[in-house]
Amino acid sequence: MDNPVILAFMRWWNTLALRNGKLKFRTQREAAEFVRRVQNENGGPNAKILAMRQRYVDVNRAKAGRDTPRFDEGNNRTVLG
Amino acid sequence: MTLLDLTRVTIEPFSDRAVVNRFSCGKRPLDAFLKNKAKKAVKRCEHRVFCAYLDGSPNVIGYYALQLGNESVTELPEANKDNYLKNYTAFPALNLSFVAVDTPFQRQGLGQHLLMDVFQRASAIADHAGYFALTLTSLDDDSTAFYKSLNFTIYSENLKNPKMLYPLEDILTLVETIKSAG
Repeated sequence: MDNPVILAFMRWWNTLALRNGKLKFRTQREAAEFVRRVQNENGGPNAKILAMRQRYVDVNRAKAGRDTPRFDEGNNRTVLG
Repeated sequence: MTLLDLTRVTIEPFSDRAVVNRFSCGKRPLDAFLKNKAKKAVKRCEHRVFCAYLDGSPNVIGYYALQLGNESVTELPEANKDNYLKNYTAFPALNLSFVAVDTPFQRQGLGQHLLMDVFQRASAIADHAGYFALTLTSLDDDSTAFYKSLNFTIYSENLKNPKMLYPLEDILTLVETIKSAG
């Protein structure tokens, strides 16, 4: 297997194979089953992604709180009485 | 190292105000898309690109691009042509085509923040169109390991840059479990 031509061909073939990979399903039904199986195996979002989501929500809450003017800020004044 | 205060970050759709020429994430294809193709891709409605800015500055410090599509899956030769409902040849998905963070802002949580913004948007899109999963093509071993740690699953075979998916139902569960403000 030291033939440089064969080795070059194998390298080219393997590169091509890596580029033209297939999917693990062939129809939409198989795709749906694949996704459902993944979902069952995952058992819902894991702790890492839950923590990421919590941080995202906390950041947006903090931002919303900061951007909302307090009752005594701004020019909207209501004269009572 | 000072950590980035994410409350100072805003994420907006790509617009003419975006300054992209300073952006560099260390991965050439991701830089090239933002600098050379994003504007055209948005104009042609091929992608929707969302950019992160700091304190109202026009400099883009991170971005992601989304595209609706389906993987072309080959139709089985023995498929029952009459019952086409059972044999769609499409795999409807929301594809995260690109996501990148400018080098000075990496490893400070901005990438995760952008990914969670994608999830928020994915859940909103699901109100209007049906699809199976959020998909992406992993760029290298590091990103594959990161996405695997979040339970993304590889759905391609023998690809140098594997295609990965995260089920839409899990996205909806996540968004429902921890609701956002407002």
